[in-house]
Amino acid sequence: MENAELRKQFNAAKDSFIEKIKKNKKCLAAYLFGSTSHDLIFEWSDLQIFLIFEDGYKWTSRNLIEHGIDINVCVFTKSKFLEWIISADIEDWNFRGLSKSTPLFVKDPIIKENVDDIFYIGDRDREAEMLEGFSQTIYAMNKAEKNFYVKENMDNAIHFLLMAAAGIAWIEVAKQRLFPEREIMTQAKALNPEFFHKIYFRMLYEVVTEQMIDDILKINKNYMKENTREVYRSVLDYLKKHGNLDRFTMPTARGSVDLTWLYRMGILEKEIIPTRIASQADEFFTYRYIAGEGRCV
Amino acid sequence: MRIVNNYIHVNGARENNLKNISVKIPRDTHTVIVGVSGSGKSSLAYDVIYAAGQKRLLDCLSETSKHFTSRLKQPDVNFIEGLTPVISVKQYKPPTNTRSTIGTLSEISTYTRYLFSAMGDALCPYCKKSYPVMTLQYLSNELTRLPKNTVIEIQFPVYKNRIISYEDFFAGFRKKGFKQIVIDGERKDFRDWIQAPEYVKPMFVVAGKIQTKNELSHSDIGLLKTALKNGDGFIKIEIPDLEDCGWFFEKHGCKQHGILTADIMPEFFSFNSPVSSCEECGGSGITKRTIPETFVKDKRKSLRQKPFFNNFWRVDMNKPYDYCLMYSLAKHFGFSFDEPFESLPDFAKDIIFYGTKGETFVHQLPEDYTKDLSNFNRRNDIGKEVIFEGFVPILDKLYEDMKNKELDSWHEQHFNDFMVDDVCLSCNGTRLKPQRQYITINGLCYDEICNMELSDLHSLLSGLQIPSDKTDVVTPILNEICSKLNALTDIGLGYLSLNRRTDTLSGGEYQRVRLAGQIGSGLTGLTYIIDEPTIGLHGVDNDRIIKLIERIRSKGNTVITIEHDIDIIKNADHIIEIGPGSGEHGGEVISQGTLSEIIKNEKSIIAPFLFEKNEVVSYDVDIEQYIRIIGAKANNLKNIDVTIPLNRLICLTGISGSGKSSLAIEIIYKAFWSLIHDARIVPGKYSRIEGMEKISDIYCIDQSTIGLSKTSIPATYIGFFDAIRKIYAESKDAIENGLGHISHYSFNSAGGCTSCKGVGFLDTHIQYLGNLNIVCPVCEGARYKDEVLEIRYNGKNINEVLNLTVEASLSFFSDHPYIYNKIKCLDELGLAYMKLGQSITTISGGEAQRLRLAKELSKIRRKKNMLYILDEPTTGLHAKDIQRLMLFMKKIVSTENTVLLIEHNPDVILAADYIIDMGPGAGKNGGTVVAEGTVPQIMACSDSVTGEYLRRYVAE
Repeated sequence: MENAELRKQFNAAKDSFIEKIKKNKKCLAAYLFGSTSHDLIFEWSDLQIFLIFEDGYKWTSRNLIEHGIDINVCVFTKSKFLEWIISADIEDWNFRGLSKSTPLFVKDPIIKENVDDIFYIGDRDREAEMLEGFSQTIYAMNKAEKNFYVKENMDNAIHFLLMAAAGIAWIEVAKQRLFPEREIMTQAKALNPEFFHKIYFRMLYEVVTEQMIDDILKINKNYMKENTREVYRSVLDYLKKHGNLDRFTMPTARGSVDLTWLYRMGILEKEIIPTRIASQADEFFTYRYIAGEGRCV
Repeated sequence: MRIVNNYIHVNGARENNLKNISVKIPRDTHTVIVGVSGSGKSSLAYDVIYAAGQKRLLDCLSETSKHFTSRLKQPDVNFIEGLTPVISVKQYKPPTNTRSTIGTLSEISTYTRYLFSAMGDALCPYCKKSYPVMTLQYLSNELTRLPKNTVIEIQFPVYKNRIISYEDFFAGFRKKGFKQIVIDGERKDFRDWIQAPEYVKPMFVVAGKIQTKNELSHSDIGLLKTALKNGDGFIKIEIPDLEDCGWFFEKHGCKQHGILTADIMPEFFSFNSPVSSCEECGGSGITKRTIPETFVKDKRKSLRQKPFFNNFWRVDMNKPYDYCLMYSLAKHFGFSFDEPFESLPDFAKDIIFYGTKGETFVHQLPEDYTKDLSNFNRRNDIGKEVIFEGFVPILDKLYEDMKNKELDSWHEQHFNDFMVDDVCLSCNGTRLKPQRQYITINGLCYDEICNMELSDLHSLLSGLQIPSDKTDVVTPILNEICSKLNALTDIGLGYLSLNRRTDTLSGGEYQRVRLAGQIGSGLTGLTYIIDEPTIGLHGVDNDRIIKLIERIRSKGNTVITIEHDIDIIKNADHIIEIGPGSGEHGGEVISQGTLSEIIKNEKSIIAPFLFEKNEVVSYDVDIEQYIRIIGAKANNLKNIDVTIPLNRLICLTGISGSGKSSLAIEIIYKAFWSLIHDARIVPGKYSRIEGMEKISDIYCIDQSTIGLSKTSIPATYIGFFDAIRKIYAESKDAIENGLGHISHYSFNSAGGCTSCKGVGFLDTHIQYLGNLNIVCPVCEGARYKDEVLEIRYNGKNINEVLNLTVEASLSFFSDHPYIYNKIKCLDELGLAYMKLGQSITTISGGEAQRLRLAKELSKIRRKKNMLYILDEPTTGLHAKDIQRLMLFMKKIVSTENTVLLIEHNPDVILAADYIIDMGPGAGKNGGTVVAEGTVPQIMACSDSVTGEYLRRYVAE
């Protein structure tokens, strides 16, 4: 239960601060973000505010105090702020914070229009985020399987299964075109409670057995197989058109697309091709990915 | 009292072969130094006067600065008095940098860039409507005049090149902070998948919005700046209510499409700046294109017999993949695996070169295949359906992937083997981003201006109407450009264009461009040393050079030229003649003084040539045997037909830029070389050549240098040193002493002195004094190890043989016909004084050219039906040397060979059997055959400038 008195103190500090800053003609907008904006607060909370000024100022982050309440202020110029929110990665912590923000005042309609637009998840971003989640899941599942089936190390297997579940949660949230929250597992649970109970929450609330781990590994793998075509749609379309992935580029925010899963699924084949390391005389081989069902020389 | 020294007094010069000579060169006059090749002209001008001038200039520098200067040798001279700062305008091959152009070299491009920036008009990329270019400040002010609180959207045009994918293209803009793009009028969000047709020009990225007010904020101006920067000066403004704002576009841009232009910067027109260079070729204007024919090594071989170059596709059982694939292609598509490649139907060649275009076929193993398949099996291919991309796409793809990386020599060679430089498809050779075509002056874009002939450009810019508000800015720029253009056209280079690459210029053209630059510098009180300024210039243009020298001299400068041209010599104020012979027979001042004084001097060698009477005898040339070039269109050639009689000495004449080299080198030489030696050479455009079968081989000697290795000597260059070494290695003494291998007689190899590595001297660097060559203390300059020097042949060791002159070695090797014949060639070309072991780095330009001639011509005794093309072989030759050279040429022709000379020298033209005169003018005014025939026929032709020049020359 939130302390009503504390909330009052926070509001007073915020109003006082805003009253002062609003008088500055160069300050175009202020956004409140963090717990005070969308969540409950407690005694160790602080006020987090984005201030957007006319160009000509330097970006700065300052810790201020107003009515005894800590205020964390980030100062942007208008052009830097707009550039940031348009080009930011969804995983950017501040950007995700801004998505849950509350406008304190906005003098510039162009800033408002742009901030209002940041929740939009386009087709391309949806697929890029699903691929990001899938890549994380592939990595975590490889580790979990090795630890469980080869090393027989349950602790590590659980650690990586929790990570795999977070990857799957990211896929599910992106699939619904939702803006991912910091607490992604809670957000995903709301979308599909039964499924996420099976692959994540029961590991938190139930006695974890070998059977349970084995089950989760199978469920996860099954999920990955079922979702391969949808997640890798852009890759497969390219492959269908070109027969290989030599020039496939899909710049995702946090790295390149993991293609090993498609090879494991038999969708891709490796073509062995000669390569040189130091001199022409040395004979080594490398590979490139080509479509599994046809060959391209 | 102030003493005015009116002379440059050189006392006791002993550099190279100079024999302690003293000369007085009158200041503020034109002095010409003459003498036979190798007599010591360059030694006096460059190694004494120029070197002393440079050294004294460097003496003025601080000790710290001297560390950064090149090291100079102290000239071997008692003293030089009255010397002013010296500038050298020497003949050398232009730099090979493809980015160097006439524009950059003459610095005219710098000014044309400013001109376009200052007074260029913009064109709407859609409707090509012309409108003025604004400054950012003016644009900002004008925007405030729009109705208050109007929200306007700023967009900027972008052009996708062929090398970037749409995915990367869009991602790049998103990363920069833009979220929407307008393609064909449809607004798309970068967060969605965007489908765009392959070629959309232009697209507009949404930069952001501005709300108009009394004064634009910093952020608004920042947004405009960003848009202008990304749009290369072009922006599009979307205004919701166009009714109230229509005046804005009518005044400033294209109302129909909302396009405006501001802040066009000079660097937008520099192809060396990443901001403006074509993104595909990086500003070189050239990309590589694969030539399918270049893959075929021998078209007479069948696919089974390895018809292709092994480094690309080896149809060999030891290369199972390549072998089986070619077999499978033939089997599936029904063409022969065993017929010669040239007999294969066109569709088969098309499949091999351009692939199956998606059609699959079974990859199969030939029945007779017996080789190991260990690596091949790893591909697990056999029996599978495959497709084949084709040779050209395979190589193109490899090149695309590799070209932005640092290529190793293997890859570089690999691409050069099968690809040729071609005009960049993205910029069409303009080297600039495509949007630069939308900035114009007088309706001409920057590239069109740069492709105009300099004379035309001069006329255009001289008559340019300057807007009154821009007079102050534009007038000085225009004056500077016109002055430089004037100098270039005056010197006979009006046919060139600013875009012409300097690596395609001849040495003479390059020198004249630099000379023209000197006129514009306006400096006085200097000494200019000019090396053969008439090289590559037609006789009728000699007056231009004389006037140019006069202009430089009249500004209070002293001009010293090294020259063989009679017109220049006759017009000089003072003449210094060095000689009498070459090498050790030269190095003395034979005569000096004014023209009249020289003529009276009985010792003078040049005097008889100055007023020699030439007689022209009428004769006929039988042209039953000939080759005929039909429809020549390379460069400025205007679809001409040319007949070249065989077994004759033919002279190709015409003023600079008339198309001589285009015909002789670009078409004739390259076409024959491509046919006989290397199909990868692509000749200039022509329809056909009749009689190609009558030529057995072709050889071209142009004006390029012959290498500057310290250890290169005439004996190694001509190629008879191996035979000399063999004589020593096979001698009885050598075998008995264990020195029976020819490598012991090579100073570069086992026999060389270990201390100096066979050079004979040690390079010692003493700070600021430059390189000092100290005789090697171990071999005492002999280059060889002691034990090698003990082996003797006819009483001389190998070092003593290398110290023999060509003349002396003739008798020494009279029993060895192979060596004798090679040395004889050197002798016949007037190089009798040259030592067999003289370092090539110490020989003059004329000597180098004759050495190249000797190298090739020493082979002619074995050859017939050869076609020799010689590009100005008289460069650097004294009139006496030219007589000797012409005798040699006649000798070549007498052995059933044909010699085609590109020449301007009247003595050579008069000695030719047949003349083809190109012209009438240069550049676009040239490219036709004005006259062809014998000397009298050319002289009788009133349209021929060569004919007119010959008439004048003979009359004098």
